[in-house]
Amino acid sequence: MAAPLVLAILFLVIYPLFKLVYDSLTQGDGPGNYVEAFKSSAIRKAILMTLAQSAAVTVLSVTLGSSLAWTLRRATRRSVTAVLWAAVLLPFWMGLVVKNYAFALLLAREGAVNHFLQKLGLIDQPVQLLYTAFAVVLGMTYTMIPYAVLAAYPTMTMVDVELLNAAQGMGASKRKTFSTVLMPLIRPGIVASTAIVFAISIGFYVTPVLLGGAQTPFIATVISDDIFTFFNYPRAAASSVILLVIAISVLGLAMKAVGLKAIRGGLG
Amino acid sequence: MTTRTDRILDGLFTWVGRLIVGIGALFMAVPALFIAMLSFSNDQHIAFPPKTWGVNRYVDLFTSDTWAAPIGLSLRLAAVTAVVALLLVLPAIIGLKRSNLRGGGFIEGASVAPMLFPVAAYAVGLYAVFAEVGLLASFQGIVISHVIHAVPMVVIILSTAMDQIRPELELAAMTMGASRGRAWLGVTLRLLTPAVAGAAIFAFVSSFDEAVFITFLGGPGLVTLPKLIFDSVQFGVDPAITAVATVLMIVTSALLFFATRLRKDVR
Amino acid sequence: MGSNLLRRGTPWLRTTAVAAATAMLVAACGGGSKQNSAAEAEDKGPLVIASWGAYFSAATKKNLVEPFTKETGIQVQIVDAPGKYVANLQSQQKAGKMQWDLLDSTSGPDAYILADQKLVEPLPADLKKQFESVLSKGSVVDFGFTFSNLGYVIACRTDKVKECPPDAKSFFDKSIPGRRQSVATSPLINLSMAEMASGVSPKDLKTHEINLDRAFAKLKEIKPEMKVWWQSGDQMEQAYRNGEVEMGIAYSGRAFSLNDKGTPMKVVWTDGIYNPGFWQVVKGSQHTKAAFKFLEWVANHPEAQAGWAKDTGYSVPNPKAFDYMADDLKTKQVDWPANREQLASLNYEWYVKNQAEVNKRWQEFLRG
Repeated sequence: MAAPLVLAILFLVIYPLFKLVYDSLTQGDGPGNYVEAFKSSAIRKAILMTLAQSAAVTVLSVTLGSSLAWTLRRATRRSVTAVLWAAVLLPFWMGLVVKNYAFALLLAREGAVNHFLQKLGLIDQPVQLLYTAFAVVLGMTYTMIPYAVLAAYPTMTMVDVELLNAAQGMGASKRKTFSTVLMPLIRPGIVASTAIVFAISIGFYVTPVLLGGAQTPFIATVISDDIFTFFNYPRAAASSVILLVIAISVLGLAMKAVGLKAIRGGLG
Repeated sequence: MTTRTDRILDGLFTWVGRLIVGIGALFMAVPALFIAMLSFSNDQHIAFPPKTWGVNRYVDLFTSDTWAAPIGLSLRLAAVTAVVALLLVLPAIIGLKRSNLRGGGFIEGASVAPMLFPVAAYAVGLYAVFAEVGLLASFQGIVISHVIHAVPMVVIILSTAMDQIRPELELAAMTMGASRGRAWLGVTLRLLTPAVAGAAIFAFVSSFDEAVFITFLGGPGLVTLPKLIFDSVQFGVDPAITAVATVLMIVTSALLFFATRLRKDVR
Repeated sequence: MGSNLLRRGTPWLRTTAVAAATAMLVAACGGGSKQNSAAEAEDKGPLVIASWGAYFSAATKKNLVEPFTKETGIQVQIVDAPGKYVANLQSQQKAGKMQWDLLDSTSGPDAYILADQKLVEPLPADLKKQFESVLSKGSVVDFGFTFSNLGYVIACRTDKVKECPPDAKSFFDKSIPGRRQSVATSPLINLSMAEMASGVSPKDLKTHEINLDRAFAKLKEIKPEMKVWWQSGDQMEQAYRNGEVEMGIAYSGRAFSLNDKGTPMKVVWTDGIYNPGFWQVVKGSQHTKAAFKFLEWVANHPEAQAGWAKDTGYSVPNPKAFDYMADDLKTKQVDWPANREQLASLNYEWYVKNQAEVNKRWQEFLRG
């Protein structure tokens, strides 16, 4: 009964990826597509931008996300958990494009953020927020926090709170308990959520286009340029393979560190 | 035992933790509320703060034909996607879980993998394959891409649910005289129903919200709601978007909340 | 792996698998497939026109398509594919079936690229002659005629800037303060503007071979002042309206309409660039005859062209169309003689020959 699914995976997951690699090596300039890609300052910048901004997004999302996840784990009052879950899941349900749209309106030159900053007297002139790397990181973090929470939450539920109480009962400070007892216990969850958030982040297309404008390209932006504006599919294929390799390496490293189970657990 | 400085530092530590959580929660809530607020402005163009209030945006949304066609297409696409994804995954998962087939874990892993691929790279791969077989800019092509996009979530939901249904129940039914088919229908499928419904809703919403595949693989005449919103945000904004967004938020929240509840029922 | 599983399974397992596959196929085929009736002796279409969407497609439908269908009985369908004509035609060609018959207002560079790649039909000689006799000078080319002509001009928000740059040279001069924008999707426009800023006369632009190093150096100088690189007219309007920018390179028609809708704008014709769009017939379309009939109808109906111009703000090639326009509309058209003579024309032949390098360097400039 698994046959249709297996066929679908073969033809629609494995074959496209195989074809991508194959085309990137045989069409256009052949392996030279990669040379072309790395020679282009636009693509080099896009790769750096993608990695740097995704790293920032990952740090922010995992920090905020695991804090939220831990609070959700520990909170006992129903009202607190309800409000927190709503805050976490609302954006998850809001629709990707709509989320970005909200940020475009918040960050515009005559938008709400500039309005409040001026009202508070912190700035005289509106500052450029939209169409910057800052806007992209903010928008992407917003999208990724729910993933980070959901990825870290399962390991947190498995932590035995008594252990922490015991450590503190034996005189350890809260900070000490955090770093020597809690951290090792939740490490797999943190690593899994870091890898998942990073791997998903580097493939982003919508947010960099809408909030970053022309000058904050992601790899996906130059790929779409190559396909739709410059009709250079071979180089687009090469850039896509580069993107894939980065994602697979990150996931592979994480898997090696904490095992497949933690990653798989982080998804569900 | 603990020193005074320790206590002070611990207090600080707790407060920093609370601050982070507070910032996180606030950061998550503000944009959603902001959009909802702007949707009740009657200004001709979106501006902050709004000068006039009212429900014009909602009137626009439900009366202009700009939105009707994309919403219709998105609904159709999402419905077909959900059905196809279920037809694909449900038999597979039941088969894999009940047959203890070797390689089952691999198949499950491979079907979850697309969730972790960078969407843009994967879209280019599909673009090449679709160009080869003439599926670019076709409804069928978009359905296929959306199904693949939805499969990981559906697999995860159904597989988790199946793990929770003990095969012994089926066996018990059979020892009590039920045929294999009846035991299966009466026990497993019934226990699985909430998860199936939940999975269908997740698949539906994932297609309804999808904006990247449609950009790379879609084409003329295939403007879905997210694509229309994406284009209007990228290219200039129709104020009715705020109303669309608010309605979307409420509807998808309700749907997914419901779906999550269904999942919990299985557990 | 798949077939193995099938063989090992029980018969009903196999049936389920087949049923699932069939269901997927049936479900997937449920919508969207396009019917193609065989071409009849007299070509009655139906025609498929690719257009730019929203109000643009609406104007074409109302002013051109509907009266044409009424007169000839040829059915016409419009599909929206803004800015994606070349990519779409290439993929249709790859798939071996052209789904479109006509292109509504292909942008200048794309029109020449399509002609260069032999994706559009050349005009039959007699038709070309006939078009030349009714349309304004220079508007008929081998592969079609101009339509939806517009100007790329310098435009400023008069309430935000003290001084609006009077020509390309001052627009590229950083000492004139102002947050600027320009078009992201057309390297040729930006490079040509930069060359005029370096002293190339607008009159020579049509045959001038752009000095890429010089032009890009000029663009780099002003890049920090460019706050928005717009991708569409709507986006450009919005950047002016919400104060994201104060001056920039804009579509002339859009700048005027902004002004009419309450955002005070000044339009500078000096060093503006004339940018035609083109009606084109797709090569390998199944209704070439009917498609050319449509072009003939459009060329010879100035009143329809005038109505179209009124709805879109873009300019049209039949000089008689001015007779059907209000004075206010006429003088804003780029084909209006007084405006036309101030506007520079682009060297498309040079661009088509050098596009690979130009595009590459443009991407590096814009994204890098």
